Formats: sequence, structure tokens, C-alpha cells
Amino acid sequence: MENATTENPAQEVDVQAQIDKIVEKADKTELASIKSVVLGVVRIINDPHSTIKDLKEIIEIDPPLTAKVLTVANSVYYGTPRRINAIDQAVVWIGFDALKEITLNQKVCEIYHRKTKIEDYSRLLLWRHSVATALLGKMIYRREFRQRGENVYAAGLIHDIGMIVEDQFCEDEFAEVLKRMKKENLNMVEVEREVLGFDHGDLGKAISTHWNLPPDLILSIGHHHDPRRVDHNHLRMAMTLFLANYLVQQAGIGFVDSPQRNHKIFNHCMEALKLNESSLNLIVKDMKDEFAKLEDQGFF
Amino acid sequence: MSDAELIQQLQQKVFLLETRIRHLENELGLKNEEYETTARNYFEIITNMRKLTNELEEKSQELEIMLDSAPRMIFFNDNQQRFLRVNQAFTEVLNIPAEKVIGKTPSELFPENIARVLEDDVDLLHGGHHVIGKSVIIDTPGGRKHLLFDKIPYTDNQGKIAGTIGFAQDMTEKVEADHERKRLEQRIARAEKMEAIGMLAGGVAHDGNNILTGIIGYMELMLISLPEVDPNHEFLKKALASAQQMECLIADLLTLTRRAVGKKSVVNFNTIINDYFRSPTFFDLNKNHPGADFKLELDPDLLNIKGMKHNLIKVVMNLVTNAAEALRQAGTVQIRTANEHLDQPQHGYDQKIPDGDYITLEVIDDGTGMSPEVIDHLFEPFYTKKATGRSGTGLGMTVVYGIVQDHVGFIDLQSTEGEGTAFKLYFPITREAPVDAENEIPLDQLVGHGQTILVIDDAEAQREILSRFLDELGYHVVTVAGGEEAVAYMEHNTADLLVLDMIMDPGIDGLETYRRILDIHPHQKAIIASGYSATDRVRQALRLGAGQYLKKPYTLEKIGLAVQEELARDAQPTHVPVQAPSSQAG
Repeated sequence: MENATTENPAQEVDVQAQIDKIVEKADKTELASIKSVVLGVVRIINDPHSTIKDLKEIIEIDPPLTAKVLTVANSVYYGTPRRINAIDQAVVWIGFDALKEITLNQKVCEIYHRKTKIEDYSRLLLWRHSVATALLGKMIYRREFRQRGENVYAAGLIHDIGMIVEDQFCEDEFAEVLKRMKKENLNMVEVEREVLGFDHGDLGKAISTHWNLPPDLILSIGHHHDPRRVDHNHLRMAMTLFLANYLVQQAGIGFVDSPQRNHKIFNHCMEALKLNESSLNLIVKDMKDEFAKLEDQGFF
Repeated sequence: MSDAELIQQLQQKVFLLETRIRHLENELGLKNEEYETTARNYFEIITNMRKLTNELEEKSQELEIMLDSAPRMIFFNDNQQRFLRVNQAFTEVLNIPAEKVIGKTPSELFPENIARVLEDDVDLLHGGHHVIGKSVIIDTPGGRKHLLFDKIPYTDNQGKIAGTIGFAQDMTEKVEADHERKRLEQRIARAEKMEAIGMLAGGVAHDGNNILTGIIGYMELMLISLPEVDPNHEFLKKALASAQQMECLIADLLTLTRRAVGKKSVVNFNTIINDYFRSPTFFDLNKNHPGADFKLELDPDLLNIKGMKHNLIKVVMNLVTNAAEALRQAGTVQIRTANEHLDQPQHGYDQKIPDGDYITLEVIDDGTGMSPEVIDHLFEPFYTKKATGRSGTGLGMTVVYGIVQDHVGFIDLQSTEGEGTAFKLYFPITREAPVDAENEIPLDQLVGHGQTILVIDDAEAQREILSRFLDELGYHVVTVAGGEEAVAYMEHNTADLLVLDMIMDPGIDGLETYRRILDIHPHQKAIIASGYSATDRVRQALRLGAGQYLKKPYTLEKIGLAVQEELARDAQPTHVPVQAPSSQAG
């Protein structure tokens, strides 16, 4: 596995220890409460033999989550013909895949509830950004690669989890990062590396590793600002997540951590994935429609 | 816009459309897969649900079977005491279909039993007390039931009392069996008492009878030799009467002790009743109770029973005497016989009368009646309610009881004080043909020695039966079908004896035949057989020398005996020629 910051091995060890300490702290807070559901759903996504029964078990062990899932399943968005009272019924009307998505959304959004607001950053804005990224990543997978993109969706939802950890456990440093970002019109990762010695990608990678998420997700989350050196097997997902992150910011949805777009990496990814920009623009347009619908449903 | 630009623009549009199509195709493909997965999931769920439903159904069926095969009554009531579920034993014992039970409270179900029905539910529901082993009697469509209850409250999942579960055991049979056992014990005690009395009585009766014969004999002699004017004459008469009463007592005792010894034969109760009403005993009774009106209603088609005539007549005598003595000065005693078929067992005096075919004897009076206390002890020896100067021996009803028992019969008895008493006796019928048991004589005592007998009868069947029978006994039999034929035969032959039918239309009759044969063989022996009772012509025949007269239908034993006796009789010259009468009417 590669690391973006590789200048000084000694410093690197220091940084790693620091990251581990933060992850350990985070593990004792409500951030960790989403761990089992996220891991469970991701496992279901990656197990071709899994059924609704497995998902049902994960959801129903968490009564508030069950209630939220059912509320969403009954919303006009899915247009179910009659009231759904059980997860079993939900799968019949809205499908297994949609149900996995709703479950992830409802669980992950719990950690974005805190009303943190620093400079242009807020968790709500970050949540909007995350949902849009997840949605777009999934749509690219489906339309361009004819794959279901459930993993990239999950990755999209939590790719900026490092940022949340920072706002909660490195509050001062994070505030400084945001301040400098704005003042100097810099991308967040650059400032983070200067101020903290690591960026939110590094933190996200550490957390997802700690949670035992599959390598696909770990690497995509860890390198969503520069996936060029991710190993070949996980390249498609990491690059797609980069593109989605990039295009959502370009579309101006939610929080923007990279005002300076890196065209070089973008073009590299487009080429590597053999994608065409105008094709992607069609997808972005559909994503915006979809996102607007979610907004209309009071999803945020 | 240049052509090149236009072309480029159009190319771009085409590309976008193609992209769009590609995107939609991909999306559709994925959606298809997803629908397939969903459908698969759906069917898996449905299958699972079906499986679960089936399992639940099986479980609930198992429970139902368990509930319904339990021998005890099981019932669930809600907290309003309404029946929610009752098992099969419940509906069977109470004989009420479940649908009439469900939703009702016990007091709605048994309104006439409210006092006896489980009102303790209130306590149960509010206090949570258990009811264990409560005994209750309920009148149900299935009859009066003795039930032993357990009831316990059950709670819902919040721990609140939601109703009661009851278990009940039908104790009716056990309670009845207990009663039956007590009754049987009483009967055994009674039987033992009777046996002891019987042994004692047997001894007393045997010796007492001999002694009494002496006493009575000498008293009778004294009575003859004592002039009526003697002041002791009256005393002696009274002493004799007492002694004779003693004789009756001993006779009853002997009946009791020897009652099972006698041989049963086929008898008809009407005959027995008629015999009694023609007996001197009844004349005495009638004389002593001038106000009594005896009414006989005898079923002419009464079936036979197997019994001992001499004992059965005592039954009639004792019942009729008892009835007559129960009358106040005047009254009616009805004596009825009838055939009766019992469809199902009935309660009798002290035992159940099983179903079957019976003849019944009813003796009904409108006299003083009896109290339940008296009825209870009625058949015990020497128990009497008659105040003073009792006429009987004190064993009359005991004799009746014993004799009925010996005949596998049953007693039913209704009595109301001040209104009267009705006895009804049941005797099982017999389909055996009656035989005249009194005159039974072993056939080997009737054997002849080749003597010739001429059977004269116009009925072929009679000739046939008689000739075969007499042949069997060792006689030489000749048969003829009429008087003239007989006379013709006797002109050239002899016979040791004639068996002569009296009326043989259209030929000469028995008397004329005998007369003509006597002319040929003056000492000819003969027996007269006739369907008519002794007429003048029969008497004339007897005067002419015919030894015996047999009334048809006769038993073969009787004719065998008559033939034997007649052959053994010394021929005597009773023959006095008599003028032939002018007519032959007979």
C-alpha cells in the first residue's frame, strides 16, 4: 500500500502513531456506532449468496434504524402502493439494492447530525457532498461499467469520514486548516498535511482499515484525492470515487474541500477508465435530478 | 455555421445520443438483474413464510390434538369469564357443542345452576388465587354431572391476569359407582342376613315341623272327642288355629331355605294367578276383607317364564294379601299381567333392571301406602308396619323378594302414603315350549311286551304318532281309520287293548264301535280318547268296561301310562249289556 506522504520515514512513524491514537479515540465515540451496520451492509453487498434475510437481521437489531428505513421506504420517492410495515415487505416493493442503500444512508447520516460549523464547513454540507458523491459514483459504475456500484456508493458515503474525525478530535487544527484554506485559496489536503502532518484521506483509510472494510473501500477512501498509484486491482473504484468527488464539487453540491481542481489527475483517471467527459456530464445531470428529488423528500 | 462545424455538432449530438442509449441499456440490464434478485428474494420470503405458516399450523394442530385427546375437561376463559376455547372432553361431558359454549360465561351457560356454578372466578381474576379440587354439581344437557375443578389464572405478556385456565374431571361415574357399591354392600349384607336366617330357619323348620305335626294331630283328636259344649272346646280351637299359623310360618321358612332347590319348568303367570284366585287361601282372604274389590286384568297373550309354580303362587298370594290388608275398609286391588320390552335399563327397587323382554305382574292397591322408611326395610324378615294382630308370618315380603331373586326377576315399587302402593315385578320370558312337568315319568317304565293294540282314530296324524310311540315302547300296533273298519278287523283278529277315538264322523262313534266289538270279544279292554270332556257317551263307554278316559290333547307319557295300567288291570266282568241308545249324538 502506498502512502502519499513518504518524505521522512521517522516522521512517518510519528504521524502513523498520531493517526492510530485519533482512531482509537474515535472508536470510543458515536462515530463507531455506525461501524457494524456499515460493515454488515458492505459484506452483504460483496457476498453473492446473501439474501434479504441477512439485511433484515442487521436492520432489525437497530429499532430506530428500522423505523427510519421504513419511513424512507414509505416515502413518495419510492411510490409504494401500500403501507410497508416490515423490512420483508419493503424488499418486495423497493428491491433489495434500494433497501441496502437506504440502510446505509440512514445509518451513516447519524454521524453527520452534529451541528458543527466552522468557516464554510458544516457536517450537513459534508453530508450533502457525501450523498451526491456516492450517488454519482454509483451511477458512473452502472452506466459506464454496467456494474451495480454498491461498494463505490458505500465508499462515497464515508469517504470524508476523516474530516469528521478531525472536526471532533483535532478541532483547533481543523479550524486552522479551514481558515488557511479560505484565506490562501488552497485545497484542504495540502493545508492538512502542513498543519496536521496527514490529511483526512489518511484518517479515513486508517478508520476503514480499523473497521475491517474490504480493500476496495479502504484504498478508494484513502486515495480519493489522488488515486493514481493505487494498485491495479482496486484502481477502477478509487478512480471513480475521485471523479465523483471532483465532479460533485464542480457541480457545487455540498461542502467543497478542493477549490483548486487538479485537471492533471482528472484527465489521467478519465483516460485510464476510458471515459468521455461529455458522457459523464450526462450522468452528472441525471445525478443532479436525482439529488433534487431526494432534497424534495426532505432527505437532508 | 460552417458545414464542418455543423457536422461536428451533429456528430457530437449523435455521440451523446449513443451514450445516452448505452447508459440506459446498462441501467436497464442492471435493473433486470435487480428485479430478478428481488423476485428470487420475494419467492424465498414467500416460501419461508409458507414454511413458517405450515409449521405454525402443525404446531397448533398438535396443540389441538393434545387438548382434545386429554381425558380431562380443559377450558380457557377471558377476564370477563367468557369461554374462549374448550376441549372435546368438555363438550362431551356436558353434551353441549363448542359453538354454543364459546363467548358465554358459566352463568349464562347454566342459568339454573348459578348458585352451583363457579362464581369464584372473580376472586381468581382479581386476587390471582388458584382454585384447586373444587367439587361442583351441574345440571347439563348430558345429565347431572359431578365435576372436580382446578382453575388457575393466566397472564398476558405484560403480566396482567388475562383470564383463567380450567381443568375438570368428570366424577359422575365415580360418584355413581360409589353409590352402586354402597347399594351392593347393602345387598350383600341383606343376602348374608337371609342366609343366616335360612340356616337357623332350616333347623327350626325341619324339627319344628315334626313336633308341630304331633301337636296339631293330637289337638285335632282332642277336638273330635271333646263335646262342643265343653268350655275348653273354644280354647282348643284357638290353640289349634295358632298352631296352624305356626305351620304357615314354618312353611314360609322352608320356602326361604329351600327356595333355590326346586326345578324350574315353563309356566304361565296367568295360570298361577288363576290358580291362586281359585284356592281356599284366597277365599279366606276375600272373606276377611269384604270391602276389597279384586280386579284381574290378565294379558291373554302373556308369554311364558321359567319358574317354580309353587313358589310363584306364594308371590301372588303374599302381594295380594299385603294389598288387601293395606286397604282401609274398602278399596280396589288390581292385578295385572303384561308383556313388556325394555329398550334400556331401568331403575328398580334396589337394582337396575337390564333391558330385555319381560312379563310383568302388577299388584296395585289404593290403600294407606308406605313411608320411604318402610319401603327401605319392606323386604327384611319380620319387619312389619302392621300395628297389631298381624295376619302373616312376618316373612311374606321376604319370601316374595327371595323368590323373585331366584327367578332372576326384578322388583319395582311405588308407594305414596295415603294414596296406595303399586308393586311391579319383572320376570324374564322364556321361549321354551311348555311341558307338563308334573306328570313326567321316565319312558323306560312304560315299556310293553309285544301286546297287540288296535288304534282306532279317523285322524291320520293321531294314528301315526300313537302307533310310532307305542311301537317304540314295544307293543304290536294295528291302526284303523274308523269304527266299522275296527269291527271288521276284530271279527277275525284279537287285540289286547283298543285305543278308541270317541268321535269319528261320518262313521259310527267310539261308543258304538266298542259296543259292537264287545259283542265279539266280551272282555275287550279299551281306552277312550276324546277332544271333548266326559259326555254321556263317554261315561257309557266307561260303564261298558273301558278302563280310562284321556282328554285330548294328551301327552305321550300319559297315554303310555294309561296303556300300561289298563293292560295290567285284571279283566273283570263289569260288562253288563246295556240297551243301545237311539241316537249317536256326542
